[in-house]
Amino acid sequence: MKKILTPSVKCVLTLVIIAVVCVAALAILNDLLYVPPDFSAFSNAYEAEYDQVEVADVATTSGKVLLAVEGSDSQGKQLVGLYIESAGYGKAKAFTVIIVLEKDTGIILGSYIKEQGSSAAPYDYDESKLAALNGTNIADIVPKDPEMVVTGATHSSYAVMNAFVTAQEYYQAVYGE
Amino acid sequence: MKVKELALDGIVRQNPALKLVLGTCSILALSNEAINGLGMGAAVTFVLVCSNLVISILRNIIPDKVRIPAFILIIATFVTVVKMLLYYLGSKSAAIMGIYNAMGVFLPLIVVNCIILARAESFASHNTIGLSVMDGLFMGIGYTVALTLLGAVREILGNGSIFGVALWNFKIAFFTTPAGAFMTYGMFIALFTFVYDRIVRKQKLGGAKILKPKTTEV
Amino acid sequence: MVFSLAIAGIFISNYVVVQFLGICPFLGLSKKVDSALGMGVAVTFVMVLASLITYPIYTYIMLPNGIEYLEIIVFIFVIASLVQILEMVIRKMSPSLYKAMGVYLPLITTNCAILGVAEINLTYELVTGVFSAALNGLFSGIGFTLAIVILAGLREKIDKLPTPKHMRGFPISMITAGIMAMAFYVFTFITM
Repeated sequence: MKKILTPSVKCVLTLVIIAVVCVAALAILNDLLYVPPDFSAFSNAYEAEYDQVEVADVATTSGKVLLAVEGSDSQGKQLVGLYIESAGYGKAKAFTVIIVLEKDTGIILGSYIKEQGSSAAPYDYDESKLAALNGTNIADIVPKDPEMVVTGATHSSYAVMNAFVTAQEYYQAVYGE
Repeated sequence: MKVKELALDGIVRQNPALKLVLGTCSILALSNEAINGLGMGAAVTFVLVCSNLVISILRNIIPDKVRIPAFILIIATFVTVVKMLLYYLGSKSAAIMGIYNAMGVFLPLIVVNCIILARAESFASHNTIGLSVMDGLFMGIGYTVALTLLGAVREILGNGSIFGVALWNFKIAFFTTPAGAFMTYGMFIALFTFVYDRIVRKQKLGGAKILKPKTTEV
Repeated sequence: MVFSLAIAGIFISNYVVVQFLGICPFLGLSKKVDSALGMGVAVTFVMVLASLITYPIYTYIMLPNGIEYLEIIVFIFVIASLVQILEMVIRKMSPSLYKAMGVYLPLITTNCAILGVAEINLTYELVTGVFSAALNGLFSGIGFTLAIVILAGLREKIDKLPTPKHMRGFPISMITAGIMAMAFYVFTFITM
């Protein structure tokens, strides 16, 4: 036994043992100190209890669904929440938009712009226009019709619109008939 | 008796921030507000104590040739622990989340904070467990005191507040900038050295030996 | 994209005087311009390599397998190994270079800037892939070299001046660094 434990072997062995113990301890702690992801972003759009679901692999043309949640509100309505990074348009870079839809029908229940994309000039988007969309079915969103979404700089409107188009494509692929 | 020596060493005679000037990156970055200084100091103290403890326990087992990699491995583990802990506590308390965000990249950078590796190499690997823990604790306290004081000065002068509590409306924005960080820290070191030398000289003339540096060199 | 990375890395978010990374060698080693330049080049080289290795490991191996919590250990291990290998390679390939630079190499492992750039690459919005990560390493290193060389130049001059006793060494370096920081502060007003 002593013959195997040459100085070099001892060195490597000590390091390996320490490494294994450390990694194991960290793995245990990682599970103990787990912090569930924060879904307050979705509650800001529409108040409900949400749980994360896997983002389905859907090809979307105008943006990306980064996070998908499902939930139910106080009346038991089933909801789908989508955290979307839209494709930019022109000078406006990607917007991050949260859209909450009713799971069965696809009606928009709430939405808001979480992060404005950077654009050439500052602008004021019209929150009431976003609110006015509540009740519309996501299927009725017409791409490139920014009048349906926000007024203000055209490029930014289109960029926000892209988020809704993404939601439309994703919803219809995953939850549609 | 030894405890008193260690305490004086850590907090005054060999204050890591003001005398040894180690771990300067985190000092400059986290001294913009007093609470940040306190938070970072607490994190560093935690890692110091834990790593000194473990390294002292293993000091006769770790072969000399691989001691640095082994130390770094152990320190890195405790830094990860602090990171997990802070994030977990941060999800329960906004104040802690504030500190976590203020630390940013400097939280993982504690692992290359020279103080911790220096104490591990020069003290914990040659001393008993109890003494090593004490050393880690007092070095950490010295660091925290210096960092919090620096943070307080920069916060009061730069933001007119202390620990987030607004005091008055007189703000010199310079102290919140990187330049202010460098200069304030530099002046702190100068001031500390000045006062320290005065006291040592007085002690020498008076015959008392309280503040004469001990030979626990880094 | 390359341009933004360059301007940001070298000037706007200069690692030393804006982000406070890599201060220890900045203070301890910048007494002569030559050694500062050597340190800067070595650091830049390690930064690029570190970025090239740590970014893919984190993005393609650790994230998908849910072991991100091992990030600190893995990164520091990669960096330490890199520096060790680099030292061996330089010693074998060019003994003269090793004599000139070899002293700094072990110090690079504990340089905040290296681990710093590896960490920053993970969350920096201008870094979108391995290539931009490596570029970020390159430009951050250049910025570091720039800062450290300027400070060395200044210190060479300052060391010849009569400085008050308690200001010598660290305090006067800090103040000089502060003045440099003021100069670089101007760059933070650049928007791209």
